[in-house]
Amino acid sequence: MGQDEMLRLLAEAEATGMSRAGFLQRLAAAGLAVPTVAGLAGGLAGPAGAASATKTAATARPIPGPPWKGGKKGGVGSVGWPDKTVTYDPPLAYDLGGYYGLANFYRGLLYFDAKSNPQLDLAESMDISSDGKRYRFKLKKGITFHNGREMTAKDFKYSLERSSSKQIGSWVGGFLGSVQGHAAFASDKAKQISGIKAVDKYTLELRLTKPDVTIPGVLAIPPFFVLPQEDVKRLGKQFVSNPVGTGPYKLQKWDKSGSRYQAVRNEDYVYGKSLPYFDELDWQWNVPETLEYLRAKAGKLDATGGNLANAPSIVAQLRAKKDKNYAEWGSFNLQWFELNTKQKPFDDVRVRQALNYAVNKKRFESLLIKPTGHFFPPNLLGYNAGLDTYEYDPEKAKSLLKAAGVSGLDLTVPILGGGTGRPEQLLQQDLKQVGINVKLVRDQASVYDLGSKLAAKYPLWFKGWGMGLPDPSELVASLIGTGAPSNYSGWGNATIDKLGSQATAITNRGRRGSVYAAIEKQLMRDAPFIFIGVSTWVTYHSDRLQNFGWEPVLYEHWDRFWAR
Amino acid sequence: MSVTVSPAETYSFGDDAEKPAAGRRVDVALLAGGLIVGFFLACAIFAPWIAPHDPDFQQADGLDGIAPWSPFHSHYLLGTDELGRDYLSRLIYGARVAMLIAIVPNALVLAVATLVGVTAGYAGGKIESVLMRFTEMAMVLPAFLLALALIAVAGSSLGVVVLALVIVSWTYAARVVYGEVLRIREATYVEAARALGAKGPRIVFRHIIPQLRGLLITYFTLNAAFMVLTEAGLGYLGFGIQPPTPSWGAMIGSSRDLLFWPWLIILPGLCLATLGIGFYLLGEGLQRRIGPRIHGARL
Repeated sequence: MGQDEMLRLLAEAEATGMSRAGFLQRLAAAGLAVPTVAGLAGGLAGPAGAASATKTAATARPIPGPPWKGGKKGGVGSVGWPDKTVTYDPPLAYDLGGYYGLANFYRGLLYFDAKSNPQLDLAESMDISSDGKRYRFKLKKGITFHNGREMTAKDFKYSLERSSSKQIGSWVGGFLGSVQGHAAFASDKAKQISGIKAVDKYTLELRLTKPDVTIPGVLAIPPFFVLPQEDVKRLGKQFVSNPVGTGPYKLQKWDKSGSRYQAVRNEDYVYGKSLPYFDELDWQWNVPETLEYLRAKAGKLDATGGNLANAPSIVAQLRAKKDKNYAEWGSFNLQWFELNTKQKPFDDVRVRQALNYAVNKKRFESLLIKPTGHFFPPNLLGYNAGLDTYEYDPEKAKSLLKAAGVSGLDLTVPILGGGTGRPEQLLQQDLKQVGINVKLVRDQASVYDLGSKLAAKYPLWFKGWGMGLPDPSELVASLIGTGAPSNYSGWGNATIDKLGSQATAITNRGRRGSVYAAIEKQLMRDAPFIFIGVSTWVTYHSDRLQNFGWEPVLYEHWDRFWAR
Repeated sequence: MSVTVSPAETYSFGDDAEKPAAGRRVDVALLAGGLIVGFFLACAIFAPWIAPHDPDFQQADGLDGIAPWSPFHSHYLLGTDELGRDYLSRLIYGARVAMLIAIVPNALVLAVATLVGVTAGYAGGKIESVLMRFTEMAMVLPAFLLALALIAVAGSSLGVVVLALVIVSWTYAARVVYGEVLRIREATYVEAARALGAKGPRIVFRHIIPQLRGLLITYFTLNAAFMVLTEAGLGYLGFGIQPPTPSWGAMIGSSRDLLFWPWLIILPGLCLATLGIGFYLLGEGLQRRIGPRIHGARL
């Protein structure tokens, strides 16, 4: 039994709550010697046994991330993105071409694989104490930044603190909230996060106030990738367009006027013997999706970066032709209407439920939104396919509205931030069928620009959220917890808050999933949203590009694509 | 009426300036323009009777998977849009917005321009200076950006769009009217009226404004095209009439990411272009017929 298989079995044992006896049987069946089996099994915390002080949660696999095969080195890979790329500073990047290009230049302790599982990357090992309150990482030795200096544990302390600081004001500022000293640091009452320690040159330790199983996933997202402090300080504001990290590529030229940059292979990359394949990357932005597709089809770009679902006429054509270079992917991009629950009549749950029955979610397929009717995306921990959602039933909607004493309701719904207005028009027609008149108005501000001011202006609004952390804790912390920073509805539920807080400490994956399933069930019952679904992500790549793939956390991994 | 004020000058005004002579050919531009504008006006007025479907209704069978029906379908003659709405019906109803914009803000522009131009041109002195300097200052402001800014601040309701179009368009018309009034006020008949004791308002309303009729009608038709295209530009950018109300410019704007369904862009674009050409042709023809002339030549 190889190391990979061992790790898979350990993960399965944890997820399913496998008994010690069952684990021993599986190992024996795999042909592992009994002394080894016994020794390993002692590391599993069984129901009756005492746990060891620490357990090695993982040791490094050869190269983390999505799989690749074959491949030849050389050439230039090119991709286009629709947004303007603003910054390559990891905790601040938010546009598509920026955020999803961070992994070209930076890496961290962990890295996601194609199934959104965090795997060790620059860390050689990760030990978690039995009480779940201490994470200790041993770093790989000899890894250098693009500036030539060796990476150390102090660099990680600096980077994690920087991403959590009030000065940076990152969207991930609270993600390490369970680390000791985070609260004081985040409110400028301390100069450092006391719970993050560089024990020695190659050992980093995180001490938590409570068990938090989201830590590995948090450390695997780009905002927590490692930076060299001296270059961040030296470059100052220029750092946003002069990334310096440990990633597979180094910046060669940032052409702001040309809306592109060139990056070259990092010869000192930790996995440099194998990856990356391309010698150079030609990264372009301000390229509308339609143009991305046309260029990729003509071979002038290797792949689209943006979502071709934003150009549905192209998708229709690709589907009809069954083009082999196009693909549709399930994303973690949620789509829903948020209701202003502080405003009548949406303070009445019957009205909120009525709206859910009134909307025919299937019609949103024309917008390439998969109409699951859930809030959680499929494949996310806690997603329960059997959950009762709101089936389209306008008669039931009418009876609920009548029971709530609502008739002749007029609503003003915004089309925010230059949106197409299509979801809002679909909603408008469905609500008209149940006697609710919707007037649409354009508001150039986006939903996240307006934020908490939305509730003062509108009764409901369309909202989308691309999950950065593929864990339901992000949804509770950001969107559905009472007072969560992006919860603009004014709604809160104490049960969900309590369950959400408990869930981050549950190490058993199955049990944790059950708790989140209960959270979504409660959310569905309260209906502060009109639940729609998740958007489909559509890509297209050129004939010559090989091993192209897309996953919902870091999208495209350009270190492992190659050209024929 | 024809008055000779000097041996070298002959002024002609109004309908008697040019009567169609026997055997004169029909003004093709006037006819074509009239037919085109008349056609779209008829569409606008009779839309509820001639549109085959509700233009705002997203038909259940209007989409094939995620692809809308393309033109010349048995149900939907010009196809449907990306939400399954009958496109022919939306184009017909779109004529309502186009004609409304061609008429209402246009009329308001000319009303404001006449007020400013006549007052400045007839009053003279300080009033003339103040009004014309203000007009010139307003002229240098970038009109389209000004309209966008106003709509961004005040919202994009129909009233605000009309107001924005008036605000950005009145200055040129005011200058044209002013120039014409300067010419008319020196006419002998105006002097004669003054000599007979007529007061300013009487002179303005009895002798000056009637002489502006031809100019105003001609300017109205020529400016109508500008109004329609400006509103279409605002609609394209999302600042015009709000969805789901069909407006040709907004229909083009909302289809710019749907290039592989080209009828969504081509059809409203053709409507805009045709109506614009119609107004220009109509304006050209009217200018020849009833515009003011000097030495027998139209101004």
